[in-house]
Formats: sequence, structure tokens, C-alpha cells
Amino acid sequence: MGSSSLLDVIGSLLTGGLLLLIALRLNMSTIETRQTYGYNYKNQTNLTTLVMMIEDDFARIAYCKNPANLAVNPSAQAIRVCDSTRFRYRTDIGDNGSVDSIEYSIGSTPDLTETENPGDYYLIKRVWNNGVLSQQNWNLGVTKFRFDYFRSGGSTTRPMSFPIVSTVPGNTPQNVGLMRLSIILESPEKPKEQFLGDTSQYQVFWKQVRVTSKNLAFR
Amino acid sequence: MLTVGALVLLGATILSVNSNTLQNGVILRQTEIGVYAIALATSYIQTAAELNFDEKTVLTPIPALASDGSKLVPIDTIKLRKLLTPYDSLGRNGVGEIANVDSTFDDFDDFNGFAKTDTAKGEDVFTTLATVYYVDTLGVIAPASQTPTFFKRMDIRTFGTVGRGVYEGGASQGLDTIKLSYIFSYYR
Repeated sequence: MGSSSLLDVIGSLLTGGLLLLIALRLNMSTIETRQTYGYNYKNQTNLTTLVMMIEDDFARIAYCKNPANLAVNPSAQAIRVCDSTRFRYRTDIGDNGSVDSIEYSIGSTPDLTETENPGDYYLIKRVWNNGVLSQQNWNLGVTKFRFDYFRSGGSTTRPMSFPIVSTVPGNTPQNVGLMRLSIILESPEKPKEQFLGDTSQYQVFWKQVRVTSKNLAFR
Repeated sequence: MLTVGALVLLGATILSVNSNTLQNGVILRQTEIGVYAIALATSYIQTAAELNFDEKTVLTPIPALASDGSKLVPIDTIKLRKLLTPYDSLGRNGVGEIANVDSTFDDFDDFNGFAKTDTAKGEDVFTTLATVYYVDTLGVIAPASQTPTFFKRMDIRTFGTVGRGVYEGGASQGLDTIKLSYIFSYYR
């Protein structure tokens, strides 16, 4: 084998190796990008579906097919619990005239231990339908689920202070006219390898909406 | 020659894969911005829906029934409508209401002519515009009415500085604008 052939072989090996490295890098990059986009897409669909469901549910706060069942003053009876991470209200599930309740909440500490993300919670929806309690725990990657409440006819920028309970005059659930819900969803894992040492690099998606119900007050 | 050809093919494939990946990223980003714009528009609608129906109903509700001896009878709707703000005066008309400061508004139609810019940190700057007018409920589409009715419609438009259209120049052509409408009724 002459020196020219040897150079050809070495050159081919180098070129082949280079191409292989490029192909491997491309493959890795594609996988990472797909994972990042996948988390982003999942967060977006989770969040929009969740907000649609909440808006649909909250539009029926204080609704009852038979209003007499909700006592004389609907707003006084409709909202039962107003906390920063828990909200329970009365409504009529199934439009059958019975007074039912729905509660949305998250735990006091992050309780979704199945994921790598240390800050995510189960989103809990409890439903009391005709006196029967059912509970659903959703793994949507919720890391923030905070309610702020605004006084009916009052400031729309300064929320009511906590606690909002019936024993604090002027700061009771029946004073609530508008709610602001801030939601943050994060990916269960870090989408890119280089983020492994960085605690902040989860895929984050947030949304803040204001919701009210026609039945809360007659204006 | 073969090597050069192979390199050209590989280069073209890599460019194509990169281009597709970037396009996917752009579309995801655009939908993300769209979600923020919709959240902003619906929040203004919900804020307005929590206010009073009209400046004239802030302090004194307009009853639909009147006492006639021992019974309650419906009041003539035409008379009731005349108690509301005329259609050409819809907008800020109360004491202390500041233009484009929604926290000072006390009734639904104060949002007529509303224009505000909000910054979603790390996302975009959004501009929201709103118009409010009376509508008739006779038609399916609820046409605008030049006489007061007990239904007001808010049309709200929100757009950012980043185009959400997949076409070039989407923002400049207004293709990124979110348009939502809401009809608010006095009697429920």
C-alpha cells in the first residue's frame, strides 16, 4: 500500500468520523428540541383546558334551577370557602334544582412526588353532588394556583386581605364579587441536559385570569 | 466527487431539519402569546361584567315591576329604557373616572373607548382596545341599537408587537389581533 492510499484511508476515516459526530449531534439536538416543544405543547393544552373548565364551572357559581333552595340572598350562601389556594362554592350540578358544591384546591406543600420537579402539586377538585363526595387529583404540573378576591363594587386592583371568613365583618365571602386566579404550570422534568444543574430551568407556562359570576350580585 | 456530493446532501438534510424544528418552535411561541392575549382580553371582560350595568343604575336600580294596588305589574319597557344613558353618551361619565384606568370605572360602558397597554413579563407588550354599545336582541347576531336597551355589547381587541400569523408581516397586517365580544344584560 502506497503512501497515497494510506492518506486516502486516513482522510476517509476522519471525514467519516466527522460526519458521524455531526449526525449524532443532530440526533441529540432533535430529541432535546422535541422534548422541549413537547412539554411546551403539553403545558399549553393542560392550561387552556383547565382554564376553560374553571371558567365554565365558575360561571355557575350561585346558580340553582330552584333559587329558593339557595336561601334568600344567593351571594351570602354561594361562596363557602375563600382561601388563597382553596375555593369552595355552591352550584347546581346537573341542573336538577339541588344545591351542590365544588371545591378547587392544592395542598399546603408540593405533594406530587412522582415527578422530578420538586415544586409541583396535585390539583384537587372535590364535588359534592346530591350529598355524595367525589374527589379527583390531577397531575397537570401545577406549581402555583392562587386565588385573590376583590370586593363587589370595590377596587379591582387591591384584593381583599385574608382571612376572608364570615366572622370578620366587612371581609366575608359574601363581599366577594370578582376573583383573580393565577396559575403556573411547569414541566415534570428539565427538558435539556445542560439544565440538569439549574433548578430554575423547568418549562414554565403561566396564566392569570379574572372570573366572576352573574349570580353573585344583582346590579 | 462522491464525498462532496454526500456532504452537500447531508448539509441540505441538516438545514431542512433545522428549518422544520425552528418553524415548530415559532408556531408554539405564537400560540403561547395568543394564550396570554386571550387571558388579558377575557380578564377585562370579566372585570367589566362585575361592574354596574349603567351609570344610572349605580345608586338606584331600575325595577322591572311596579306596585299596582296589591299586586306587582311589569313596567313599560320603553319608559324604562329612557332612564338609561343615551347611546351617544356611553363612556366615562362619572365623577373620578380616569381615561384608560379601569380601576376607576364603576359601570360597564365606561370601557367604551378604553385603550391600555400591558406588559406580560418575558412575553410581549399587548395593547387592548374596547368599544361598548347597546344591542337589540331581536336578531341572532344582536345588531347595534341607537336607542338604549337593557343589553350592552363589548367588543374587545388585543394585539401584541409580535405577529402570531404564520405569514410574514402578520403583526403589521393585524393578523395577530384577538377579537372577543360579550353581551351584558341588566335583568338576569
